[in-house]
Amino acid sequence: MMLRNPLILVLLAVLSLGAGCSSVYDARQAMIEGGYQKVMTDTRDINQFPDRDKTLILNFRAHAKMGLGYWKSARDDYLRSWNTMNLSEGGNVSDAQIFSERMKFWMGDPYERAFNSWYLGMLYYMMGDRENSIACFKNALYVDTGDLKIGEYAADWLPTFIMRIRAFLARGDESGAKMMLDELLRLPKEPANFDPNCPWFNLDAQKDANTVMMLELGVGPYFTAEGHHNSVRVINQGEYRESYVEVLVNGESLGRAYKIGDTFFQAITRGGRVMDDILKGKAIAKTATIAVGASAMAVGGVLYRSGNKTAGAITAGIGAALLIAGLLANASADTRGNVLLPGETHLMLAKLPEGDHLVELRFFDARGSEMADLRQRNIPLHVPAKGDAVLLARSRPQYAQPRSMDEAKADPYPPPAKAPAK
Amino acid sequence: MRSFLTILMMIGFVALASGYGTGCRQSTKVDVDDDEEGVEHSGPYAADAKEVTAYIVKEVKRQKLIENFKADYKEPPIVALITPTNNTRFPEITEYFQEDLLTALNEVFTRDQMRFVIRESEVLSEVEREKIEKEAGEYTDRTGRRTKLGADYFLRAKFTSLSVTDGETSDDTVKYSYEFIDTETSELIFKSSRDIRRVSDTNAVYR
Repeated sequence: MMLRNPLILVLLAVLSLGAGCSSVYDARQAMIEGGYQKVMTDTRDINQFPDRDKTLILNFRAHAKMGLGYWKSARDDYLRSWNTMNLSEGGNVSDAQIFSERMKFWMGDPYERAFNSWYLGMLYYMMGDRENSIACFKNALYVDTGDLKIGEYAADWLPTFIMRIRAFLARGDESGAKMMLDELLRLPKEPANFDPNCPWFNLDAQKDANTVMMLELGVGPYFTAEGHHNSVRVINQGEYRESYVEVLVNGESLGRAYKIGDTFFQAITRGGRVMDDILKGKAIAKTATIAVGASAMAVGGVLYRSGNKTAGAITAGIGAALLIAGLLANASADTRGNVLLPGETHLMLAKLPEGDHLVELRFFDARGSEMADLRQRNIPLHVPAKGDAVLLARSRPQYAQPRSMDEAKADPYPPPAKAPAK
Repeated sequence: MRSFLTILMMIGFVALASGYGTGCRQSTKVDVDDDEEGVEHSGPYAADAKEVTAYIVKEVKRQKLIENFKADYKEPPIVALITPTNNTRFPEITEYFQEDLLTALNEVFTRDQMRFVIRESEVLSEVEREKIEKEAGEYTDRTGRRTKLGADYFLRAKFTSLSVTDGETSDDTVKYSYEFIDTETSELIFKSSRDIRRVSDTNAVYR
């Protein structure tokens, strides 16, 4: 009986450690309950979240702000998380190797890092900062590239290629644009990744256009932990019906947009994760350690009851230590991920007259039936005399489009209005 | 029984200590030239901008721009800083560099030696516009008083990076090149560059 009380205490401590590791903000549920507004409100105080999750939370908050049209504030959050995802060393790595993978600071998979740089670049570009956008698009390609010398993956997510081409042309750097196009044309024509029939993969078409629309469809992948001690991280495809989008400007159809990016394809076509090997080792060690620990405790108990109290206590103590080590060695794979990303990215390139236009988006399923509830009308689009008009829109949940740069720069958390003095 | 409880307490202490990090921390003031302290990465450090800025200032002095210009026109030259071109993978470095350079130039040269303005556009179009506006007299008011400074030189920086990785190591070489251009003649007065290479081991555990 005397042995049981301290054991209960230790087990409670172990459980509390485990509970602390699994506390991740459920952005998917928040989106169901209150959309981007709820995510933005819930994540206002970033310090309420554990350090290990802050970069992920910042990505959620940035996405929510962008979805609500607060571009500047979203850009600030994306930049803050960009710094962590690209320039920091992370943290809690040794803890993650011993205890739970979720204890390490979240930095994102390559495709999540690419999306972070991509959105940051889009926000810079849409707000007129071409030079910083070019840097972001370059980084999106960089983080999407492995060791090319040993035949690892090369960057193949086209949205960054296209926007880098647009930015080069806006700068007047035609050779830079051509270099990117040549690189794009060398990629394998994999329909799961992009539509090889897209007619805008040539310099003339790119130079002729003054309007670029990046249209996002569906929801991106999410992770689950499965297998022995949940040590295998499985990448699941998000479920959505929309398959393509038709674009109308001022009531006239420009035709279908072309798929240029598939997030699930990007998520599953990467080099192996080193952490997976560690997790496999941990799963095996965990089982063995728990078994040995339990046996040692049983032997210790027998020794204790048979009169060898000191030897019994030490053996039971070692057994308890092994058991605790086994329980603490959480082999569960880290299932944290940016669940707000879209499933696909489609491109519409056009040449429109300078001035204000109204865009309409019609989304269709794979059988060609329009999903009428997703139709978006009267999206404002201003085509400048010089440079690109850019539209970043999404099927569901829809992105709000700021009507002016003042709106785009507005504070998403304005101070409450003071009551009039009586 | 006592030894058993001691073992349990030690185990609990180790588990809690390793699970909850290092406890209280306090920030430490570190010199910006010190790139040994702080987070290790392969991107530009403040020390890099300082190094390049110091080199540009030295080069301006070495080229005797001020002396030559004053000998011809009896006035200090007006230098326009053009927004740098950023071909690296690092956003925001142009702003930091521009600010650093402008501050350094103002600290080194008095207003009697050199004056500065900022232009936020392309060099060639800016050269053209500068000429047109000078010819149209847009830089003087009706009394002949100068209301807007017409630049005599453009100072333009361009950052380009070679960035490679093998999945475990980030290797970035940033070329900081800069050029002085005569706004009247478009002559390239001088051009130079500094290469700074940084290599960082990213943690292999990170996916």
